[in-house]
Amino acid sequence: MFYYLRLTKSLDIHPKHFGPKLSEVIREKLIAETEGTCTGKYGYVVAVTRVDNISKGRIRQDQSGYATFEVEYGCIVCRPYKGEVLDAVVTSVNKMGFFAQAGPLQLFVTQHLIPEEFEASDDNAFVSMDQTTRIQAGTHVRVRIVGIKYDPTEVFCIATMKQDYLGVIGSDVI
Amino acid sequence: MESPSSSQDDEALAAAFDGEFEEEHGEADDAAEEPQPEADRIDLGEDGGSAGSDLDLDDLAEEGYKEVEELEREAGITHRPAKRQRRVTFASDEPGSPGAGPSSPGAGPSGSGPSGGMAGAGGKPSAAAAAACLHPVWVFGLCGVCGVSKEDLEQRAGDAYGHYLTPGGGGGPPAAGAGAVRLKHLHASKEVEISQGEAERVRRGAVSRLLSRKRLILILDLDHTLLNSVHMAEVGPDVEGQLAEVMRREEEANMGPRRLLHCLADKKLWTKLRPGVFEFLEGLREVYEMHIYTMGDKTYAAEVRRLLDPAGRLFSSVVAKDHSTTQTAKHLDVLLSADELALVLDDTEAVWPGHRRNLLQIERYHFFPSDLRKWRTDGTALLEQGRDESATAGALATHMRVLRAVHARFFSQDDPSLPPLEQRDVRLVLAELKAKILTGCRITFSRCWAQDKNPRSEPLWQMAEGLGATCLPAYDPHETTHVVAAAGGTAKVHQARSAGKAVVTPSWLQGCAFRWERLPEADFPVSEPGAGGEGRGVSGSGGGSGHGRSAGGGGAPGGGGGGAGGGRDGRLLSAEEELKLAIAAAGGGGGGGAAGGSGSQGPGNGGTGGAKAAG
Repeated sequence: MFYYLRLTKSLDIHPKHFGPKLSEVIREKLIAETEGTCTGKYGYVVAVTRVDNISKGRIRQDQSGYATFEVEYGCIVCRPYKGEVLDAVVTSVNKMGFFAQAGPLQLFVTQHLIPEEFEASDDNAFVSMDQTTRIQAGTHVRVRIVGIKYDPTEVFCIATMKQDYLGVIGSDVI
Repeated sequence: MESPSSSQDDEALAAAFDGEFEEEHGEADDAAEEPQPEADRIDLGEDGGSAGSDLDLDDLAEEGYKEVEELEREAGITHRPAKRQRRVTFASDEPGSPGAGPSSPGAGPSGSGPSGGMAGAGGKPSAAAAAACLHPVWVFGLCGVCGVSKEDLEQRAGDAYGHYLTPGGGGGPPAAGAGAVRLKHLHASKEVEISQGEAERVRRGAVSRLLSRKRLILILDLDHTLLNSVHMAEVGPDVEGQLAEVMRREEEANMGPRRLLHCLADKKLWTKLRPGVFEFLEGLREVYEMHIYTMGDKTYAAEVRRLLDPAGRLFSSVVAKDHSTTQTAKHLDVLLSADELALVLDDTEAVWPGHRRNLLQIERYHFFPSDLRKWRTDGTALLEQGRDESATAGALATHMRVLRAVHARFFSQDDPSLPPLEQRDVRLVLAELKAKILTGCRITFSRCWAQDKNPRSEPLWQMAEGLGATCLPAYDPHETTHVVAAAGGTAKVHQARSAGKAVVTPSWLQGCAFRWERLPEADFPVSEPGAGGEGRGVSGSGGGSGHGRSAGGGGAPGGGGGGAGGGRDGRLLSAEEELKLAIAAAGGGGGGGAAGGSGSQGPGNGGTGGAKAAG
């Protein structure tokens, strides 16, 4: 699920930036340090949309000369939840199941959680019994998240396709 | 909000963002009942633990809430409204909005029942699943079936308090069973770990699928088998001129994507595909499920795959060194395939310690002079000779023929001597075909090993028997048809010569094994001692005469003898040296830092590979 959040962050800025472009530097540093990162709390930070307020800098008392600024900013986060239903694109298929991607989230669906009517075929795909539906790289699927794991820069989910209203919903035009 | 899951989401969401509004609800809680401080303490603990860590927040939140509920039930209190309020405050992004407070008590009792039930239902599956699920697959550190996190499970198992919280869990089964298989080639950065039982299940599925489609598995090595790569830094200016000439000729021939010489600029590599490689792959794709297994790194493997298979249809998977279970050997376990259906085409026998019987050993393909120097001190590479293997009669064409024959034999239906399809073993078929090469030959060895050795354990003896020949420990004027001699001048050689029997060098055996046919014995004469020239030199001239044999003609069979040729000649490589070289060569992305001195030029692991080879 996507959220728009207002958060604060402390940034340490080198004194060489203390000039007319200070706020620009802070903004750049904020984006560099937050966009694309993940926390278990907020999920994946997709984009910093605006900087609301930059506090007065406080010079750190460690002889480094750096100053700390508290920055309030607005950002879009993607926070997956257990039980959430997502649309994803299959990235690769193997004997164990398939990997898929939904925006920044990487998903894996094991064979156990793919409906029985799909059978592994020998050209890296799962094919339905009636041969009409294929799961291969590029297929669009609708899945439900079963488990989530956060890394510093990526979110990984285990998902299932074995419930009502889940399954293949389309394919990339190749 | 009407589906159970969405309201569960809300619970989790509320928990997730608790930290934001700690103070507000902290105050509200203080004003509330007895058990609350306890619950608060747990909440705080969660926040501390979850900030920036990998803990599954939702699970923790569920546990936290379950405990609160329990405490509340004991105290006979319904506390839902407060939580509702928290959620509402988040959703409206106005912490502690006073309006939400008064409105919620009314909704509270009605809301608390179902949502409490929901939380319970939400919590139960994970606890129940932890108990029932065998966790056959671990991906990203999560169970692929029930989604429980491994760390969480271990923590719960180790933590007595956790036991108390999830009585159904009972600690759960051991997270990673002994003998679990780790598959690293499925995902760019994460490994997939599967239990033995699951591996067996996947394997069985693969076997029945392969048999029903009449296919077998073929694992292909890259370096020296399908191609030859060297670092640009190793290529001298004169060689560069030759390469430019080859490139120009290919341009003129208008070969398009089927060009054989490639310059991988971003990896700083020259890569020369072995002639006939495209025909080989196309010719076998119908009957074999093909995989790449290389000791090179994965970016190199991906790059080469793109050259060989631009459409991405030929290979089922690509396994690189980073994915292998061990650093010095290749093993079929990573492919989850059945050993009795798999064949391996590789130039180095030593890297397949557990799968010698699956292996078809192919002559090394040395196109670049600098690459050849690493393996041998003598001989010339194909580029120096200004020629190349033949696409239609070269080593790959030979092996395509053999592989097709193996496949045809394996699936032949009208031969009553074969066991039923399910029990057939491709290794036996391969051995059977191999044993036809020298059928009828009766070989006596001379000067091939020290006399105190047990001849039956000698590689040459075993190779000869594998090729279908009968080995005789002593020269028998009636029985012996061939004398294989490492040096001339022995009594056996003289006896055989005078009786008009064939006297050949050990290279003949190796050559027959590589070529899958009985080569003319006259091409491998044994020279008399003192004459200077040795088997290799002489056979070199024979091989150069359009047999389509590889670098240095007959020299290559001698040098590429793997374990067989190793101990025989001081100038050749021992099996261990060969293994090291193979790994180092592949480690640099195909002939990188193995030269030691050029290690600084190569990528990081190329440098370490070079160091390893030197040490």
